[in-house]
Amino acid sequence: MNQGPDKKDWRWLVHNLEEVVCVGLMGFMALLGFANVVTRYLGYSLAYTEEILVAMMVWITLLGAAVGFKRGAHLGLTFIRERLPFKAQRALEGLSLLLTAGTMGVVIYLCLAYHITDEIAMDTRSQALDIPQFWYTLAIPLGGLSVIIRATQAALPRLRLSSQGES
Amino acid sequence: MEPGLVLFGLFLVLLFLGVPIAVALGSVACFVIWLFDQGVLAISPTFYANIAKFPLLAIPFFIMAGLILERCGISRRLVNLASLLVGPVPGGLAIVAVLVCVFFGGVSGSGPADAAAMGAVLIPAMTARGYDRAFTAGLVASAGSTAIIVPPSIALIIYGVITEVSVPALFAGGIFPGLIAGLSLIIPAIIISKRRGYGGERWGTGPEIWRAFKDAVWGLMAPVVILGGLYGGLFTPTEAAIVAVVYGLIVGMAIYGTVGWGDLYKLMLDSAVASAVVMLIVAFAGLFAWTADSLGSIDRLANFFMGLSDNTLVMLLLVNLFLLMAGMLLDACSILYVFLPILMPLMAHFGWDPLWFGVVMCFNLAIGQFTPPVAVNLYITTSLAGTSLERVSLAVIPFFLAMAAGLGVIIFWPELAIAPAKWFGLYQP
Repeated sequence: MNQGPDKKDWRWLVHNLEEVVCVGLMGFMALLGFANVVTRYLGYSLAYTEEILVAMMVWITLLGAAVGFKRGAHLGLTFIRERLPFKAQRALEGLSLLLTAGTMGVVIYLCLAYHITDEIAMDTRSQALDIPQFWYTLAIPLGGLSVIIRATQAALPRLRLSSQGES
Repeated sequence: MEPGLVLFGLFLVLLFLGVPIAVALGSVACFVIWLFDQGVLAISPTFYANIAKFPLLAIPFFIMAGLILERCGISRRLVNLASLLVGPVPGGLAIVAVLVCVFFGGVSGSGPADAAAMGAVLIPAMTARGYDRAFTAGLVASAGSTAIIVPPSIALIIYGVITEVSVPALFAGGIFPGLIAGLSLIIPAIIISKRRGYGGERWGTGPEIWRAFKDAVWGLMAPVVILGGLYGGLFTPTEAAIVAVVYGLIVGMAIYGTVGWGDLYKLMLDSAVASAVVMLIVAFAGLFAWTADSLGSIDRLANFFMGLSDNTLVMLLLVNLFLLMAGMLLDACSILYVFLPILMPLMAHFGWDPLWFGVVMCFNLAIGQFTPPVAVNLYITTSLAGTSLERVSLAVIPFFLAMAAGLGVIIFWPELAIAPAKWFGLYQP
């Protein structure tokens, strides 16, 4: 499933883009967080970096959630579903995908049409660093899109299975 | 139609149909906000704000610290040391299992992570010495659940974010209840082992113990670094988590040499995905709670609960039964977001201490982690032990009863949770 970071041709990257970004963000968060702790003890505060850490957590949540759908890592109550006939199981897989993509789609639409538009129109800036806030908020449409793509890619092969695939 | 019924009813339907919990919460919240005209424009900002909270930063870092320390090979070293110390007591390895799970709970804040990390070492070792597979899987699943009671705990962090009780104080409140949870599991473990003739090991000799201690000392120091820094007032919970990550990297890369540069990619990725799974639930469960609140359903549900009884003991019993059942169906994080707002007015009405109640709640949720059908921990240990969920579900019954008894102790003796927080000067009830 995960091929490791060594196969660096572009096709590998297309399938593992979220993974690479997540690893980068996570590593950077750890470094920045530690720098923050150390400098606080040296009496020099990097406290404004807390804002970046929080924003990166939003990005990691959405991109990591996309990888989570790929891996089937999201928690759910499947003990009833597993005891249903194959066709019902497949229908419920379809329902899950529909709701995942639909909900994410609604959130993305509302974010682009109002949330980000307002932030740009009112020139909302971040509290500590005075960066335009929409750079942070972009995590929702971009990360949300990757959730939709990866959830669909993960579910499609299972939805295409004919009942002969039952075992 | 009562909007709250639509909200909770639809969620339950989707939950039982096997829709991922985060998606079920989010889709129902969005639909109900639109249906009852609660202001769809709030959806995206609320979603963002639910994640972008500074105290929640401790979650990815504690998850990372747990994964790194596990990768260091600390589990095996702890098991070695504990086996030499427990010696020929019947069911020696079963006791060792509980001890190291509770101990690793002092590094990891997640029950499933604890069960997975310790189970990978303990389950093969125990089955190799003749322990029944279902017994082993049940024991490690229940012992692993103590990780959300023993500080640091992701569930307590989220409880603190929702109720605004100080997280370090909550962590202090979890120390004795966590130890009691472990103790309550050791008792049935010994009784069953005695009856089935699971023998002990031999005592370790002095030099052996010394060598095992030297080998395990870096692992033993990890909770000291985390909790010592926290209670010495050196670090905030997030800082303690970051320091634990760095400590784990130093131990794994420089001291034990068990973590190479190549492992870092997988470690970072796995921690990102594990935190995202939690944080997506945080985002959508927060939206769900926001919806319930803006519909006024929270107040109505709280009033309904309060109308059931005026007796504080009866109400406590009802609340605990309710939480136990919720814990069987849902993960800790969604329960906290969905039900805590309803329970907070009850707390105020009956004068329950919020710190103690948080610990009681996490104790319930811990039990839920190994109670079928949703028992996350049980799935992990069952597959590690290579047995069937049906058999493990039966084997876990004594541990369920023991932990429920342990919960009773905390319920009737609130000082166990409150006193340590007061000693550290972190809490004023």
